[in-house]
Amino acid sequence: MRLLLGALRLFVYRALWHWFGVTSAGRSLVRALGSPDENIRSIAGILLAKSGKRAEPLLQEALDRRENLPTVLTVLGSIGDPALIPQLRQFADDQSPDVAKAAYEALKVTESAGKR
Amino acid sequence: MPYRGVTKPIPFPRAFGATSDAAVLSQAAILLLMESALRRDRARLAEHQSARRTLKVPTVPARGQRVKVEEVESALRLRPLSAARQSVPATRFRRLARDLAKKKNYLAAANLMEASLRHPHPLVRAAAAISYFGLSSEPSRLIGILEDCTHNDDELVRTVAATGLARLAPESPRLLQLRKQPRRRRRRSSTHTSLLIHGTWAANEQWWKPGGDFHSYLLNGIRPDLYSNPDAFSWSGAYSEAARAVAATELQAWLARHGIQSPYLLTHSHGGSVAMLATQNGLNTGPLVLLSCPVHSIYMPDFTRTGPVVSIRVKLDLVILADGGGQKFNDPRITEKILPIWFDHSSTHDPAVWQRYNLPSVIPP
Repeated sequence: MRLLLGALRLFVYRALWHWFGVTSAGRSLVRALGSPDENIRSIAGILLAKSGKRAEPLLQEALDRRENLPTVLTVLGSIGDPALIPQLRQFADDQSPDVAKAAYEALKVTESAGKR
Repeated sequence: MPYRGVTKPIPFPRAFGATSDAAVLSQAAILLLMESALRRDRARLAEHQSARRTLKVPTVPARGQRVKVEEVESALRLRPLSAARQSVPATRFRRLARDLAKKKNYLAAANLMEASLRHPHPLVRAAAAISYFGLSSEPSRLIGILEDCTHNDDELVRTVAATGLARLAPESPRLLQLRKQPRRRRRRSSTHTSLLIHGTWAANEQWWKPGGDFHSYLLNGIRPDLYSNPDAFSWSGAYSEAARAVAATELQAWLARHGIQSPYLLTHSHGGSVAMLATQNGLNTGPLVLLSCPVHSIYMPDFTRTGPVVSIRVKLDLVILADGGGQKFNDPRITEKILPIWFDHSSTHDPAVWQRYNLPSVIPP
C-alpha cells in the first residue's frame, strides 16, 4: 500500500508541475530520483524523461547541487537534447567513477539520438 | 520456427500493423504480389488474380521510374540501411499502408516498401527487398538484405530470399555457397553462458552485478554458468528508444568480444527490450527470461533466433504503468507467469520472491 501511495504521489506531482506549472512539485519528482525504493526512483525517472526538455531546468538545478547525480545524468541522456552535450562532457571527467560513467553513457545516447 | 496455421489471410491494408503469424505472412504475400504490377507482368497478374483479390493487393500503376532512396528515407525519417538496424513500430506500417490504400501511387508504395526493409520480421524484409527491386534507385542495397536473409534459421525466409536472389542477382556469391554447402544448423551448445541484463535506471544498482544479491542467488545453484567477471555487460539504463538501440548493438559487440554464443539471457524491465532488439539485429540466444518487461510492439524477439521465452511479471506493475507499456505478451510463443504480487516492479529480481514462488522451476533449464 505504501508503494501505491508513493507512486500516486508522484503522478500527482507530475500533474501539478506539468499542467499547473508548480515548480516545487517538479522538484519533488527530481528528489524522488534518490528514493530508497527502486519503484519510486524508476517512476520518477520515467515521468521526468517523458517530460522532455521541460524537465531540463529542474535537472540542471540538481546538477548544480550534485543531487542524485548518476540518475539525473541518465535522465538527461534519456531526454537526448544535443544542447546538453558540453555539460555532459564536463561530468564525463568527474572524479566519482559512477558519475563519470553515467555522464559518458548519457553522452553516447544523446549523440546517438541526434543521429537518428 | 513453424508458423501457426493461417486459415484466413489478412487483407491489405489491415495486415500491416499487426504482428501475428497470419499478419506477417499476409504482409509478405501482399508485398510480393505488388511486384507483378510494378513490373507490368501481365502473366503473373492474371495468374495471381484470385490471391490479389483475397488480399486486396493495391495495384500501383507502373511508371518505369525509380524512386530516390534519400527522398524516401528523409521523408520517413529512416536511417540508411547501412546504419545499425532501425526498428520501425507496427503503427507506422499501418499508417503507410493506409496512405497507399488511399493514394495508390508509386511513391506511397515506395514508402511502405522502404519502411518494410526495416521490418522486425525477416520474411517481410525479404519480400520488401524483392518487390522494391524495380522501384528503388539503389537496388544493390536490397541484395544485401536478401543475402542476409539466406542465413536465417527460418526455412521459409531462406527460401524466399534465395529465390529472390536467384532471380534478381544470379551472380551473387551467396547463391554459390548455398549450392555447395548443406544447410547450416544453428549451433546450440549444451551449456550456455548466462547473462543478467539490468533495466532502465539500474546501471548503478548492485543487485545485478557480480556480488549483488540477485546475481549471487542465481549463481549459487540456479545458473552456475552466470557470467561473474567484473566487466559484466551493462548499458546506460537511459529511458529512450535510442538508448535501447545503442545497448542492443553493444550487447552484440560485448558477446562477440567475449566469445559467447547463444547466451542464456535473464533480463529485467527494458533490459528485456534490449535483448529482444538484439535478436532482431541478428543475435542468436538461448532461453530468454523477461522479468517485469514492458510490452511494446517494437520490442519482440526474433523467435527464429531465441530459445524458449518466458515472461514473469506481477499484477498491475506501477513502473510499467508509468512507462505506458503493456504487461501481457499476446504471442503464444512467450510463456507467461503472473505472480500473485501487485504493483512491485522490482520484486521479480528479489531472491526471496524467487524462493517463495519457486521461480527456478518456471525458467527454462
